Amino acid sequence: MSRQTRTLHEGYAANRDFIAMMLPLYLMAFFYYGPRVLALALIAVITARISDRVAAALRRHRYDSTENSSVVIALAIVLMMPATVRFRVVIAAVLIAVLVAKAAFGGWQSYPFNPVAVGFCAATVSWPDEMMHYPAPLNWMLQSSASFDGLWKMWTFDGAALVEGPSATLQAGGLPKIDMWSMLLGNYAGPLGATCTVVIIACAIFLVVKKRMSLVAPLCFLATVALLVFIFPRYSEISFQTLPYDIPQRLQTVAYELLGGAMLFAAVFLIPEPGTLPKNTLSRVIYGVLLGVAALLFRYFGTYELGFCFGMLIVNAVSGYFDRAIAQRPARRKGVIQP
Amino acid sequence: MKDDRVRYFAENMDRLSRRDRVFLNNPVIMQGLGLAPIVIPANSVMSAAVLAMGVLLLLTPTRIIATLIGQHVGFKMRAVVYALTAGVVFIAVAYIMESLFGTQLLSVGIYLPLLVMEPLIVKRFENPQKERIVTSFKKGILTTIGFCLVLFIMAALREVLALGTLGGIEIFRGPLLPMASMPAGGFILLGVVAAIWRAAVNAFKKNVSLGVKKLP
Repeated sequence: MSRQTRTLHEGYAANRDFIAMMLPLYLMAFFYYGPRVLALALIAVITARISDRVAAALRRHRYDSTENSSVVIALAIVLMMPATVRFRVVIAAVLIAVLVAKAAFGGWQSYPFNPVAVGFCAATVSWPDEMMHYPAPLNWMLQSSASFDGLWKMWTFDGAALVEGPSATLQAGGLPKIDMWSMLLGNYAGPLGATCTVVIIACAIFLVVKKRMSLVAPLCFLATVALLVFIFPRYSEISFQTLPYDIPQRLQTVAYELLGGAMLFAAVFLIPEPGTLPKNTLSRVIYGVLLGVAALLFRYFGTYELGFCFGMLIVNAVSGYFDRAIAQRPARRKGVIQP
Repeated sequence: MKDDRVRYFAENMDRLSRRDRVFLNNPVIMQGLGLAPIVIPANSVMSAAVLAMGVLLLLTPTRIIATLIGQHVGFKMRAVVYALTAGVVFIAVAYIMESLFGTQLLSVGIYLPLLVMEPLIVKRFENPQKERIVTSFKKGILTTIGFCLVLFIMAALREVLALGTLGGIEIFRGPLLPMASMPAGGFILLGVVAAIWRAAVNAFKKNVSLGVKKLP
């Protein structure tokens, strides 16, 4: 079939835009963590494509190369991982996301659980230490040298100090010693592509302008998180007795919680995922609020840094019901003749 | 496949599909019975051996004794008869298991006593038809074999993936997928095994029906 007459998959354009918006994040990650980031992305994309072919063969469907949602899934999973993660962890996460969370439920938009969250959670519970310790940004430049040993160290991060993300400090009741500029530019130890707030916001603006994402659910999610963190901050020196004098510290805690731990990344790249996002506006509001509550509960009482993925899986289990419940509402109104 | 066997399978496929508890109508794969012990505690061959022994000692005796008592008790009391019989039989089973496995029983935890209320063992009470002793013995043994087969397959897979060992013997260094030892991994793996198993059953049935068409 010639290229002109080939029918593109219905989700091709939207997924292409999401992929395009991940490229700036990969560029920033390359700047902070070196060429290993690109190798991780390449391995993830190849695994996703092979998984798609295997799934198509198993289901006896024709393989559609323009169905590129698996590439989005693979790239998003890598962006939430540390730069030091082993290749086999990436392969396992992408295999589970594409084969188990996506293909087993029927493929494109048929899945009840966000495949990125499933893949990431599988990797986190399997290799928690590896997934929750991050190298310092720009460390690769310090380690690299012209020698083979230097290049090898740059590639493997051998000998690099690994630290926990800002969420661990908040969990211990303290405030991370990271200035706000670094938080905005992503210049702190964290997931390789989910820390650069400025780029993520720019990507969100592009996606909104192109009408690839609706802001309802992400804004409700972020607003719920901000409100709950403001009322119940994890900073140990703040309590209800210190109100209203502690409002600046409370706002600072809100900023750390929102900008750290990939909350903003989730709001832009995970929540608008069309397969799991409810269709109705009111359903989206409820979805966003519940996601915010679940994400924060996992963060406050869980052990994993990126707890929103676990919260997302729980909310996804009931999110399909929201549309049905909301769609039935007008039929129950007085005066409406029910079929 | 030989012509005689093809003819036999083709003529008896419906009956076999209902009665064969090992492959065609495996209680775990086809009916979803006994999932809890398989996806949670059976994460090594040793744990699987403990659970298999528990089911072996519990299932068939419970079924036979419940059948015997059930012949003298009204239909409404069948659920109570099966549950109480399983509970009483488990007292003896617990002592035998303790003498056989000792502290290794801890590896299956609460899931050994929970076998008493496992649908695999007590689900028969839902069937209103009375059962003969010989039939209950045969079906008890076949169900046990079918369950244990899936149990050992799953336990071996989970041990290899999660620990890199099989029966404690190292196969390769480092775990491939540590999540396999967790309940979530158990569910995912069981799904994969069930899909492959069902595909094999469908392929077998298709093979038989194709073979019948080619018969002279």
